[in-house]
Amino acid sequence: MTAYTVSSGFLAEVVKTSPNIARKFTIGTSDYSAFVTKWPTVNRKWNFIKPQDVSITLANQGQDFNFFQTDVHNMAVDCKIEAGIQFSTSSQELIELFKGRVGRVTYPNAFCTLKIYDSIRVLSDRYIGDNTAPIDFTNSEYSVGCMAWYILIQGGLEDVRSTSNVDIDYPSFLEWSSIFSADNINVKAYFQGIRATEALRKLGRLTQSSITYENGKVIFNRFSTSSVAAFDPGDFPEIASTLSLDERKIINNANVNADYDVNSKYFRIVVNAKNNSSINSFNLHSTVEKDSSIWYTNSVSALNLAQRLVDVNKIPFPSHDIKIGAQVLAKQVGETILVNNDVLNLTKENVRIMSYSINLETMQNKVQADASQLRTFFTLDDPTNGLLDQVYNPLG
Amino acid sequence: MAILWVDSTTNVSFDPLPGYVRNDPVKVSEFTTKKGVLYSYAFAAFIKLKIPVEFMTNSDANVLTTWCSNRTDLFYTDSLQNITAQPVRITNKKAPVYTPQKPYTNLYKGTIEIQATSGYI
Repeated sequence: MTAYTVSSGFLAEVVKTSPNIARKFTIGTSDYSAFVTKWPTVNRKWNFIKPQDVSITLANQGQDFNFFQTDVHNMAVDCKIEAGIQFSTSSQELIELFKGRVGRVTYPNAFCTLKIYDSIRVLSDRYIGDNTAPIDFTNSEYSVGCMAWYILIQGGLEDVRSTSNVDIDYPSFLEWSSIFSADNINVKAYFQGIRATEALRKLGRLTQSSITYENGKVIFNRFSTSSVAAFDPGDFPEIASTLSLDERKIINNANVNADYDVNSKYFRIVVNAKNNSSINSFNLHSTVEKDSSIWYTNSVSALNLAQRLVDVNKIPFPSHDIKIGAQVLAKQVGETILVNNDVLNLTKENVRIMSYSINLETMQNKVQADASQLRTFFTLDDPTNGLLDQVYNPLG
Repeated sequence: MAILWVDSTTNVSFDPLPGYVRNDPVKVSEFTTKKGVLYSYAFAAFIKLKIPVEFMTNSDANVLTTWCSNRTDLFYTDSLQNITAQPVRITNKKAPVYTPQKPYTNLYKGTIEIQATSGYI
């Protein structure tokens, strides 16, 4: 699990009832924090990698931002939004919450409003293959990590396989891809003009992974148990807390299609996983996973997905929507946190942050957290010795 | 004694009257949790003063009016508030000192509103 690298002083300060919060906005190397009249909100979600844009309003009474109008090339400069702790007048510790480029400039009266697009916008601006020249990965099987790396590089990110990669969180990528390599889970693909972000979302959905963009990098995770203690933001720090149980989110019957034939346009393999106990209690809630862009090559891999879908979603799991202060400032998607709900007698429940919304103007932030993927998932689909694989080790 | 100045040769000095108000605003986001804990995120505070003056000469009043109209960057020193060379601007919406001081016809009174150009948090 990746996390912002912050000092113990930062963590101690951010949970206080009156911390010194610092916010910083830079255009290139210039600090324009003093001109900000309204700070934006930054949102991130575990299973939805998509470029975000933020709006930031600046005071232009002194004509300090006319440089966009005098030379439009000034829009092609990296902007950064950071927040953190002001320890003293000359010492601050900040984390990067948003990085991007100016996509739109407006001058309403004596103000300047910038719409800034995420740096990963390049991934959504680039297409992989097209109808006349598709990218064909059907002649061999490819590891999930290999396919993900291809998509990232085709999307314009840096092709450096080390921790010095400025676009990709390489340690998280290595850890994530090794999960699938260890289980020999491979994919094939056929791209006929798909955005790189869409290809990543499809791969994330196929592998039930978290592929997000935080701290200026693409981060990979596949959730199970947490190896670090959950973050405790303090005794009942929530401004508001809502717990919801949604029966519509149940999946107790999953069909996963695999081994797609591009020429004949059909899937040779369909596997099924179901939970009869859930079906008996909540009726049938089915889902079909079927993608002709990226697909699993064998029934074992497909069954892995089907079983995970059903195992995670067989009953309505409690979802916590929390409104909280700056305590979550250095928390990332996937990190675990202890939450409370006094009416429901829940004290320090260990849940995983699945999405957040950091409001830099008010520091009243929102977190959605649950325990849906906070355990080890048990499967019996070992490709060699498994008894449930009907292709390689059929019963009877 | 208080003094507003641009440089050593261009300045207006005056004695603040009783009723002198220093009311520094604080840019803060504040809320109370369900358990009654108060969280305060103070982002900035800045000096803001309302200074009633009287018996000001016509020439000094005109200088203040010009500085107010142009929103000229000034410095402010005030021994009462222990403020020294604070960068400020006059923030009145109209001429700060324009009411004739009865029974005089060449002296004026009013209230000067000034605000620091940067915060101190």
